[in-house]
Amino acid sequence: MEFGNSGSLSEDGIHVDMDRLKKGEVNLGTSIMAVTFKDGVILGADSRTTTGAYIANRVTDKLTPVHDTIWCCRSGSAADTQAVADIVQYQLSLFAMTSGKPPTTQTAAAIFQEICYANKDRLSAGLIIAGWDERHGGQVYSIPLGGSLHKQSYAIGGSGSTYIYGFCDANWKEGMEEQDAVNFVKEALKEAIKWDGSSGGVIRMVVLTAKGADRHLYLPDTDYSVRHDA
Amino acid sequence: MVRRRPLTPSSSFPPKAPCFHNPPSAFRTPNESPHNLGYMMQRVTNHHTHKTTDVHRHGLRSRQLHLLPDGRNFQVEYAVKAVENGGTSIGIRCKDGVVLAVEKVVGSKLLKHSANKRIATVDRHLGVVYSGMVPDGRHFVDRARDEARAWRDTNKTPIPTADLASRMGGYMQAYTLYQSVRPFGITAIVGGFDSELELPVDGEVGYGPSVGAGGKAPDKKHGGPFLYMIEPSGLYWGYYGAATGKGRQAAKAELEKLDLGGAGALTLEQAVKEAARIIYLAHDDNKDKEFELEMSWISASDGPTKGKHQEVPKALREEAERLAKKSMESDDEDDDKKDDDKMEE
Amino acid sequence: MFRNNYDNDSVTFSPQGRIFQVEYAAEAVKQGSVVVGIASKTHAVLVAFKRNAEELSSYQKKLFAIDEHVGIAIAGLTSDARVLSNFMKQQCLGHRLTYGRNMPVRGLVDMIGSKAQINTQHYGKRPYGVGLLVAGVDEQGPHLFEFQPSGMTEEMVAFAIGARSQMARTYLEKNLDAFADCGREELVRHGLKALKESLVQDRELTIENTSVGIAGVSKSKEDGSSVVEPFKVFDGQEVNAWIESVADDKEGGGDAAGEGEGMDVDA
Repeated sequence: MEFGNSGSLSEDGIHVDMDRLKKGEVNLGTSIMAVTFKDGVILGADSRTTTGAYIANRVTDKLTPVHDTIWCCRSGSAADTQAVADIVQYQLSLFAMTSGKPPTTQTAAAIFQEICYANKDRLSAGLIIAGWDERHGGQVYSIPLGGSLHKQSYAIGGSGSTYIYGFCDANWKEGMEEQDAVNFVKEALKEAIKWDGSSGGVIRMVVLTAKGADRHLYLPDTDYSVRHDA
Repeated sequence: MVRRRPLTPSSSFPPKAPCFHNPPSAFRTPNESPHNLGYMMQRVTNHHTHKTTDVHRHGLRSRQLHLLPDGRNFQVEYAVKAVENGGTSIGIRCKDGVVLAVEKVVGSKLLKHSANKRIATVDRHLGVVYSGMVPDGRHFVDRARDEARAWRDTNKTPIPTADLASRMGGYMQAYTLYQSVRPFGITAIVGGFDSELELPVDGEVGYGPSVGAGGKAPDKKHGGPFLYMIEPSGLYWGYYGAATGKGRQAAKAELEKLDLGGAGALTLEQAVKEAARIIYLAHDDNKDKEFELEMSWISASDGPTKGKHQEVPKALREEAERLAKKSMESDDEDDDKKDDDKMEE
Repeated sequence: MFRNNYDNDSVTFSPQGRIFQVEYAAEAVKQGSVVVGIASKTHAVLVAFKRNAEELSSYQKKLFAIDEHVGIAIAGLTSDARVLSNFMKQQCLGHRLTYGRNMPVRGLVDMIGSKAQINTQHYGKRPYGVGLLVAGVDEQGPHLFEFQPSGMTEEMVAFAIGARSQMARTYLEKNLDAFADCGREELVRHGLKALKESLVQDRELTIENTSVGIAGVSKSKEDGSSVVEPFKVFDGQEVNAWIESVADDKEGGGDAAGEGEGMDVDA
């Protein structure tokens, strides 16, 4: 059997469910997650971007802000998820300007969902929305492929997530301290990267609390043990 | 643009010559709605090129209204006159809710009693009452409902009272800008209770951690009762007590006596009784005409209306009316012997 | 042609806050011949006095069925009434298509109210020069509404609009308390009597110039469910018995009769 570069499992035997992608489309074959903790939320992601079997970018940033303390983790088509995030980012800044107050995570999630559902036949986007606001604290919403909206304590997504359902279920605790939550995300993503061929590179995180957004970066050279400047 | 012939005084009615020409159909699009102000507003704000072709295509005499040299717009001032002739409307914002009340002057004995409502629900937590031209008020309410719906569609959450007031203020203002429309002949009072609870996204599935979301700002209160009054000019302010219509002066004087913002602020039930009393008092100068009192209220989610805008229950309204009448009688007595100034129940 | 500077169009307020175009439209209603409507607990009736332009011409229709459960009586510009009537028919049909049942009467009336209000706020439009009485039955029972060119709509127990209608309204006010418990026949007789009050001297109600419209609900004798009597307009010979029952020489007889039970008066 000849190996193609369409990224489809039936052809190259590496990738998971990427039938939706066009031939040669850039894909975030990915491990992403977001968790609530005592003071807010943490988003985490690997950094691998592939075009079929080819790694198009090894240090991708899959954590995208749509407002000061509302971010999203993107999986699926890079082009689609960027476009959707751009639209939401615009809507939220408009909202903040006209209403004079910052949007809530709910509002952000609702707008994401509207777009994802209305265009479900044309998009391949799996998103996790996580944000902190004064009224609701840290919240996590997941929007999988069909465009449904789920409120969760923590969410994992992307091809790599399949390998860490057990890990997360065993190790997740409600209301963790910040350092414990950071470690939980890091260990989970390390596992995902280890087992998933389409995940890899660095681990990026964003911690969202009353103090704002704080970025973390961990490199594989030191087995993700040292926090670097992002 | 073909100008349609207006109606003339009764003698020449109906018009004798055929005088209604439709503009050639090429000038019209199927969904054209010449009264779509949203479109007009957009056009003006987005491009400044609306003067010629756009206007003709839409069959509008859409020149802007020029201000008079002293900066006044007479049409708006005349619209206010229409409001000043209408039955009195008031709104009270107290610590645990909002009360709306209106004096409905009974124009005919043949009207079906209590069948014709003047206070409208715009969203489950929002109510509107207005004084002035009732059909204009209905139009206002229709639009407010559209705005509330549109907000829910995009944000999946109820529209905050302040945002509805802002939208409707903008809408009314737009009707003062063009020669093709006239201002609204109403002043509207918008009351609402923005939920103090954490609101889910409409239609969301699932829930967060059972310990609740972390990192909330401590001791911060959210939501609460709000009251706004919007004038024909589009001007609006937030109020603790708002009054408009014929008896507004007397009503305002009474509202100012109430403790609405302070520590010993009125409770919702007291506010209902005060509202009834104020409407009765404001009606006093218009004594020869009969009237009907209509009242609605909105409480917090743990209050009597559970965060919803509802008509005040019959029993409470009747009790409030009884007290109002009693207070009117004792008022009359006070005029005779000025020793007793008890006003309360 | 115009009385002042403020009555050229419907987008100009007079200094007193009035819109003359709307007031002129209200005058147009008074030019139409009189129509009367009354609602009881079980029925809503409309009665109308028809005019003919000349002796040999036909009489202008005054009552129109909108849907199975609703009818209107018009006073003013017939052509404007037709626009509203067509609109109402469409709305009722659309409602029936989507919800599979009769449109609530208030909802229907509110829609023409909104439609008419727009005509009073936009340049290039003029108010409708017609007033309506809308009678119908829905799940809440019988209703009677008045519609004015301003877009004002109000639910009434009984009402009359059109030329010299004040006299009819006076009659209705006098008998107001009786209507709620009136039977079908008695309600029609009250309507005709009110109508007669508004006739010019020497004019009489005849089978040519009188129309009656009725919609009703009654409890089925078998299972107590409500049975709708669809709105129907009665003309010509069909109204003969009613007219005779309120003929001057029989005046007073109808009042004493109490509950009118003869449901099959009309053939």
